Amino acid sequence: MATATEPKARLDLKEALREIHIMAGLDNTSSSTPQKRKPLAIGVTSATFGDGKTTVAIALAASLSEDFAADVTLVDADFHTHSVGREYGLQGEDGLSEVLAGTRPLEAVTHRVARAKMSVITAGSTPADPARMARSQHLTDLIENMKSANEYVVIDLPAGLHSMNTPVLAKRCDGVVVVVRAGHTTKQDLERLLHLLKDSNVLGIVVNRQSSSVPAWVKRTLNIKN
Amino acid sequence: MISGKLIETIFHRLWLLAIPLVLTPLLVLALTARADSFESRSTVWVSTPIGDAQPSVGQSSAYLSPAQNQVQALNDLLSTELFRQTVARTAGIVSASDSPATVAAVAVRMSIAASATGVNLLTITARAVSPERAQAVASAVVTSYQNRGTQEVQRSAASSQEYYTQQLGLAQQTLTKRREDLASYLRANPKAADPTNAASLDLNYRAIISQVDQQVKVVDGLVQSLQNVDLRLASAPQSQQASFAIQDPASRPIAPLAVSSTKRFGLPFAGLLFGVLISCMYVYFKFRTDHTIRTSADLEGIDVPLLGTVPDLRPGGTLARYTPLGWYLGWRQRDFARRTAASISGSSTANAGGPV
Repeated sequence: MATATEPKARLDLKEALREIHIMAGLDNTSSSTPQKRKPLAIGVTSATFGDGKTTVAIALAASLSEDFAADVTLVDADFHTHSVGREYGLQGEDGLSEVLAGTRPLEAVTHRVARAKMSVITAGSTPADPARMARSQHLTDLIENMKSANEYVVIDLPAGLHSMNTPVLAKRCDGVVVVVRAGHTTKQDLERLLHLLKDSNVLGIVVNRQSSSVPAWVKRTLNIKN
Repeated sequence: MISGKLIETIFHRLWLLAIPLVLTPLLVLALTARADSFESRSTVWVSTPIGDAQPSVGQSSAYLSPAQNQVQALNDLLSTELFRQTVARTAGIVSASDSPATVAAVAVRMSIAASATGVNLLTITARAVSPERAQAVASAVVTSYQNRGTQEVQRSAASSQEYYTQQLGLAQQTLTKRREDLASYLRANPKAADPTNAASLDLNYRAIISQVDQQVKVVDGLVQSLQNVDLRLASAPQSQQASFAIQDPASRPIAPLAVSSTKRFGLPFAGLLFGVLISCMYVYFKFRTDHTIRTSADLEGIDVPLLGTVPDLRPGGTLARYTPLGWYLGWRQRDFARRTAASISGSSTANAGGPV
């Protein structure tokens, strides 16, 4: 729960994520007959590097875990950056690629985040043939396996315009969140990414790092939307 | 409906847009700023020299007034470096010890103008950084021009004097020879000297008499011309002063020239408008070439819903956001947003290496 002493940045981020929960249909608390919902695998991708997809994936997984007290696993499927492992101090640890290669069991590479109902699986070492790995039945089974143990599986996918594994991996997910960086991602790049993801269930778009220099009174006067 | 992206483009680089608005007028002010300038005027009465159709300096046109003729000659001289240097030396604004380059530079920078203000009135205007210098330059122009005129008259008269003297000598020699011929004829024919005698009607005698008379007239004409030249030579300074007489001596200005309102306010205002134009062009260029997604309005036409927006998470408060401190903090804490995201779960550490 947010406290009065909680940093403003974190409060802002959590509020933004709650909106995403609602808009993406991830919030089941409004249901009049609460029932355990079907586990979901949610992929998070973006057009290019640096758009903030890993940040959104981490925040989404953490907020789902905290807000819904749900078991969540955050999987780093971006073999290019290994960002998730670095963030949680798991550099060099075995991860998804080792599980897919069959050298390590899933349980051995799943790391529990302290004081949270959340687990992290790093990307592991860079596989020799990531395309074959992305298309393997083993990956589908692995995701199903993770879903059976969690309510949400958040997968940090590679940047869509830099890796053609992204559309393949996205199809394995129940839904995909596309992150665009305000003032950085072009409309052309977004349209191209969405075209690549045409066979996936794109839940929607999250505009990341949005800031406005326009004073509020100007926005009110000119009736400008955010 | 005003485009939100356009407004965002304007406010996003508001400080950048303010630069031309401030710098351009300042630049105009700096470029058009001048030190105080003083103006001295001298009025000269100009007339055509008596007995001479041409002015002492230059050529005259029958269609122009004496003042206009003199203005043309004076402006021609003022366009020459040598005359300007003479003026500078006469005005005392360069010294004998100054290098030729210094003298030339000072001479070129002098602001002098001559204009006809009447049929016979010519005004010489000089501008300088001090009242004394302006007055000295205006006076020096008049003096230098008068000296130049005197020199021109004397040179021309000396040349004429030499010519007439030479011609007079030849004419007198011819006259002497013809008188000798007449005397020889009378010695041979004494009766021809008597006008009542028929010998005085001899054709040869009459021809000799006529030649002597003609040569006498030639000599008399040359003597008259020589006297005129002598007179002109002797009176050159006086006649030049008479034809180029100072009516009003160079004035000493008591206040600097007033700066025109156009220069004081108009040019900076024009600079401001130019700055506005530059800013507008910059905004328009950025707006037209910005194809990035900034607001939800930019997602129109894309058949995917907007789930939400994540604010730009930066360390520091609002004040630090637009200051170098904010940029420094942002650079130092590049992973601030990711760490904030990880902190939502309460911890950003995992049991490394250990299974669940």
